[in-house]
Order: sequence, then C-alpha cells, then structure tokens
Amino acid sequence: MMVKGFMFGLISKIICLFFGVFFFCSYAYAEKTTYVSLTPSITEIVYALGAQDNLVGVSTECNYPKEASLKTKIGNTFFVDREKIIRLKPDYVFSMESTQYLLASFKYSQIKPIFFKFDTIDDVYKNIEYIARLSNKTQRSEKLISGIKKQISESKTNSPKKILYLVQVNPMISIGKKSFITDIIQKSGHVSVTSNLNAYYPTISEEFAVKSSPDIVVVNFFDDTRRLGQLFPHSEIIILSDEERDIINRPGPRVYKSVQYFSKL
Amino acid sequence: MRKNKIFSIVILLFLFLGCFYLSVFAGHDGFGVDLFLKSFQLNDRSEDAVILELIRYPRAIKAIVAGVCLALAGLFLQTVSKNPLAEPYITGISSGAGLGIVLSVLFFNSANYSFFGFLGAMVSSLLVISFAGFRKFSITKLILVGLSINIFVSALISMIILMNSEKSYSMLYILSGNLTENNLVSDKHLLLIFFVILLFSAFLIPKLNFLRLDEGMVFSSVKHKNMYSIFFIICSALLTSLSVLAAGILGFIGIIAPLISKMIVGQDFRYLFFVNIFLGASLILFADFLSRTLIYPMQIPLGLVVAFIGAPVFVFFLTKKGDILND
Amino acid sequence: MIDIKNLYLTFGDNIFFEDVELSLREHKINVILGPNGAGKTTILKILTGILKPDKVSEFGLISKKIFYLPQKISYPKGLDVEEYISSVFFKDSMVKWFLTKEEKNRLDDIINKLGLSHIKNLSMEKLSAGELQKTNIAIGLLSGAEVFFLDEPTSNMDLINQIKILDMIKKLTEQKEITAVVILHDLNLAESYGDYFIGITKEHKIFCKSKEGFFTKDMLKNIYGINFRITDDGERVYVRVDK
Repeated sequence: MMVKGFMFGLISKIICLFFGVFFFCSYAYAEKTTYVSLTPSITEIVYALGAQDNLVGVSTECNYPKEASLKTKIGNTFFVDREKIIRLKPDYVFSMESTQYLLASFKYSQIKPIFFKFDTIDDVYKNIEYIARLSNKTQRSEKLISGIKKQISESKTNSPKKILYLVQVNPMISIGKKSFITDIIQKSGHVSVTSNLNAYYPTISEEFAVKSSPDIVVVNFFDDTRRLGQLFPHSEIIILSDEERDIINRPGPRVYKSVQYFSKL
Repeated sequence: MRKNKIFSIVILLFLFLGCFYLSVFAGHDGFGVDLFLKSFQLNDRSEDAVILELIRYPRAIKAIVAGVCLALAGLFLQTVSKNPLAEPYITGISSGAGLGIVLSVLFFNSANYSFFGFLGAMVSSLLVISFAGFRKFSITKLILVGLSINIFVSALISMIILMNSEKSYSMLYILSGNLTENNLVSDKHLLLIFFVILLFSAFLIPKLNFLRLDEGMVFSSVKHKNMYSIFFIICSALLTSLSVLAAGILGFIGIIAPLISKMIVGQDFRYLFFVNIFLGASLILFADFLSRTLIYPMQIPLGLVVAFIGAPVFVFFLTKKGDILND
Repeated sequence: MIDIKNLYLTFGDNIFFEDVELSLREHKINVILGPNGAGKTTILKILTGILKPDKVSEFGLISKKIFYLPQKISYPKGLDVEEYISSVFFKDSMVKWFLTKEEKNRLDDIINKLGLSHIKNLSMEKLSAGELQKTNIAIGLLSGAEVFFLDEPTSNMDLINQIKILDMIKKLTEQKEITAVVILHDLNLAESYGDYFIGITKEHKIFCKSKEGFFTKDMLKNIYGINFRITDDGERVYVRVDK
C-alpha cells in the first residue's frame, strides 16, 4: 500500500513538472501580445505608448495619428467584422463599455474582449496603465501620465465662465454628470451648466438651456446657428472644427489639449 | 340631442383652451400665472420673452397643427374605409416620412428634417394610392399595399440608422416625434397652409354624412362613390404629411381622436368635426406640456408621451361607451 | 313600360346573359323570381348600373332616377332615426353644412307618411328589422328616385313585418310615386303583392309575364325545375310544391 501511494505521488509530481516546463516554455517563447482596437481613443493611447507593433487592427474611425489609418480595418463601433478579427488572431479586442453586446460572441473563443470605461480623466490614466501593462511599456506609461497631469494642472483659467456644451442642437443634447467632457470643463476651471444632470448625454429642453444663461455655447457639430443666435442673444457661440471635435471627444493621451482648449475660452 | 352636442363642443373648446394655456405658460415649477400676466408687457430681450416667442408659441402652434391634421386624417380614413382601425399612416406615410427624416439627418443640417419628412410622406402616400389603383380601387388593397411599403421602408430606415452610428441617436429621437424648429418652412407659412387645408376640409366634412350610409346603396346621381373615397384618402394623405412637417411622426392620435369623438357626439360629422379637431389638438398640447415638464430639465420625446396618455384615455372611453363601436 | 333589349353579359369566357330582353311596368311592383345562382342579383346590378353589360341595344332606365337597396346593410352607430334619414340630403352638393327649410319639411312629411314619427328620435340600434327597412325606404324616397330596386327587402323579418313592408311598397306604387323592382323568394307573397313577374331560370333565360301568365305549372317548372301544384280559389292563386 505504501509503495503504491508513493508511486502515485511521484507520477503526479512528474506530470506537474512536465506541464510546468511546458507552460514556462510557451510563456518564454510566446509571440508578443497582439490586440485590435475598436475605439479611436484607445488607438491613440497605443500609439502614444509606442506599442503600435502590437496593434493588428483598428476601426474605420481611428484616424490619429495618421499611420493608424493604414492598419487593417475591422469595422466601427456598430458593425464589427468578426470573421476578420478571428483571422487576425489577436489576443485581445479593445472596445468601449457600451459596445459589450457586439462582442458577446467572443466570450467563448481564445480572443478576449476588454471593455474600457471613460467617465473621467482618471479613467484615461487607468486605461493607459492597463494597456501599458499588457504591452510591456510600463515605464513609458508613467512618463506619459505625469506629462499629461502636468499639462492639465498648468492650464486652469482664472476667469471661470458658464459653458453650455451641446453635442447636438436638434434635438438639444448636452453633457451630463457622467460624461468625461464635464470633467474636462471642470478641470479647465470653467463651469458646465449641465453638470448636475445625472446622465451621460441627456436630451435637454431648450427652455432649460435658455434659462441657464450660459456665457459660452460650444457646439459639437455644425448645426442651426441662426436659431442658436436667437435663443442665446447674450452668449458667445462657438462651433468646433473637425480637429477640435476629435480632440475633445476622445478621452486619450491628447486629453490635456482639450483642457487647454477650454481654459483658453 | 342637438343641445347636448353643442354642449360637448363647448366643453371641448374649453379643454382645448386649457391645454393651450398649459402648453404655453405652465412650466415644471408651477402653472405660470405670473408669466401669463407678464406676457402682455414683455420686452424683446428678456429670457421670458425669448422662451415664449422662440420656444413655447412655436411649439404650441405645431402641436395644434399636428393634432388637428392627424385627427382629421384619421376621421376621413376611418369613415371611408368603414374600419375603426384605419389610421393616417396606413397609406405608407409613416415610413416615407421616416425615410425622409433619416436621410435629411444623414446628409443635411438636421434643422430641415421635417421638410424632408413631408416630402417623403407625400411621395410614399401617392405611390401607395396609385398602386392601389384609381380605376379598380379598393380599400383593402390600399391597406395591404401600404403595409408592404411600410415594412420595406422600415427595414431600410433601420439599416440606415444602424450604419450611421454617429447620428443614430438623433435619428431615433426625431423619429419618435418632436416639435423643434425647422428652417425651410417658417411657422407663418405652416399656419397659412394649415388654415387653407382646414377650411377645405371643413367644406368637405358634411359629405361624410352621406358616405356614412352603407356603400351598397346606389343612387343614380352618385355614380362614383369610389371617387369620393379616393378624394378623401388623398386629402388625408395631405393632412398627415402636414402633420409630419409640424411634428414628425406621432402615432396613435389618428386612431383615438376620431374614435373618442364618435363616442362623445355620435356620427353627425358636422358636430364630429369640431369635437375631433379640438380633441386632437388638446391631446397633443397636453402631451407637449408633459414632455417638457415631467423630467425637466431633460425632455421625453413627444411621441412617447402621446402614447402614455393616449392609451389610458382611450381605454377609459372604451369601457364607458365602447359598445358604439360594436358591429 | 321600361324596356331593355339585346343584353349580353360575359364573365371571362363564360356567357352569362345572351340576347336577353326584359321589360318593367311603371308604378307597379315588378317581382324577380328564380332559383339561387340564376342571376337575380346580377340582373338587378345591371339594371342599377353597378355592373356594366357587354352590350345592350336599348336601356330604358337610362333617364330614370334609381335607388338600389342591397340585401345586407350596415348602419352607422350613434345616430337617431331622423339623423340617419337626413344623411341623404348631403348626397349631391359638395359644400353643404345646413339643411334648408324645404328639406326639413320633406323629411317630416316622409317620416309621417311611413309611420316613423313615434320613433324618429330613437337611436338606430333600438329599431326592429322592419323599422330599419322603413328608414331605408325613406332615404330612397327623399333621394327623389323613381325606380326602387330592392334585393330581398323582407329577409330576416317575421310575417307581420314582411307584410307591413310590402304593403307600404304597394301603397307607394299605387300612389304613382315609385316603380318597384323587388327580388322575393316566397312565391305566395310574390303572388299577392306582385303585379308583373320576371322569372330567371338556372340557364339564365328570362321570362317576363303578367300574373296570369306566370303562375302556371309549366312556367314555374321551367324556372325552378320542379313540379308545383297550383290552386285557384277564384280570388287568389296558391302555389305549393308537388311531392
């Protein structure tokens, strides 16, 4: 009996050893981690970290930096070419939290979807750190984050104004408490008149917008400016250019630029 | 009998005025008595003046136009088709309007969407009516052709919405019906067109008093009863398109306003006309009041509020006087 | 006499009526009789202009004002008798909001004449089948029609109501107000109220006869394809099926 027990223990130890060696080897000789990104801001983070070699596919909306648009396209946030992703054999798919349902089918495959949250500027730092860890760029991420933090802390306005940020005029959609743009406006020293609304992008009533009497109305898309002029006769109305819009709407490494943009208003 | 009917009309007139007052002056913070009193002596640049002039009055006007048009269109269609389930959108209008709206949001400044909705509505309804055939016209054919076109175009709309993720939210929002500004047709023009069509309908209305007779009856002086039907269907298509121009797509009002009015005054269309238009306008004015105050400072799409208040009101009337609809 | 001559009607390749001739007597009750499928309703539809024949050389009804009452009728809800009857006044003009005084008087006259005055403010849902049919006839009269086409006007009625309606039609023809063309199924009722008879056979042949010419054994056998026993008591003719 004793001998039998000993033999059984030995065999199990050998098996363990065997598997251990196998896993160690596979880890040591593994190819580098690869991933695809479905969100422009994540693509920007990857490039800022210098990890673009790990990136094997991007969405059609990823256009910054310019080289990003040369990568293989795998769809946008609403239409994902799943077959193409499987053929690219990435380890991870990066996407926004709101698109979980699109990638549900990857749950059972080797490819792991990762969903990022972008509710505040702190989330941007966390996402940078996370991607850096996956791509072995931890040192670079520390530098990147401290750089962004420094830029943001230096650009705070001294003359706070009331800002109404409109994602869209018709219907009037603004930014609520949960949106990272609200955080950006606060960091810039101004006040967003819709910061109390408990939502990401609430559809607000025009009356509320008029009654909040903003100093500046910032409009995301070009829209009906004539009507805005009538509704806000005492306010400055700014329509964002394409580049400005990209910067403000992407919670990526360029987030300090959007803080700077607001602080200069 | 007659006195009762005139009494109903007066009551609905007051209901209409009440809803108009609520829609224009009341807000989330009260019934707006002081705003009402102030409104006679406002200067141009104050906030209240801007709100009244640029937001509340235009909204109320559009609500009235949409309510009256939909109620009338529903009345015409239900009478001509002798089917209480006929609604203004059966002639393919809702999908045509929807396609127009979605395309205009996609390609143009979003403030023009209602005009393109109007165009879409006109095109699709004329298409459906001509498919149903002028010579060998039948209502059943019309309803089925309208249904097919609705299904086909709705699929197209869904596809456009899904393919354009950036704008899909605003497309969905606008499709639920709302009363915001549009640039191409000013409120003055809208009102002008509205009054012309309303006057025209008022002249036509007593004819329905004849068409309510069984269509099997034949009189030698009336050879083409079908022509009247087609005429009324084209009229209702016009009215519905106008309602799209004012308020986008608002379902349900076109079914319930005529049916409730019938339950109130019966089938003398001369009385029914007034009850119907006051009721349609009141329902939408009240829905508008709720849509901008219920979750202030955010707002609920008008079409949803219409459904929220329309369904209970309709069921209430059905349980009280529903036997009038039995065959 | 209203004559219709050389009438042809085809459905697709099937010839339905071929070279048919028939005549109606004015200010009389003309009864159309025949088995199911013979084409009673079809001929009524041709006469009223709902159905266009392929060819007809003489069509005497062309200048007549007509009124056709189908067998089954739906009634609008929520109306009283007076309102229902007054619907007909909105027939002709496109723009008319109010009834004229003259129209109101005519309405009252007809209501009194047809004995509807005690129910004129009653809602239509409360009326009996006979009363409902009277309101329809009132509509026909107010429309100014000279020739009434009635497709089984007494179906779904008890005997008393059948007699009331037919008495009324008889009276109207005798007063020279209307010419009636009526489809009936009951041969005895037809015999006692009809003045002139149009028989249609299964083969779509049409025979127009007076009462004496129609109620003969041969004629009825010709039309219905079965034997009848006919008894004449000097005053009336009775028809029974011969078993």
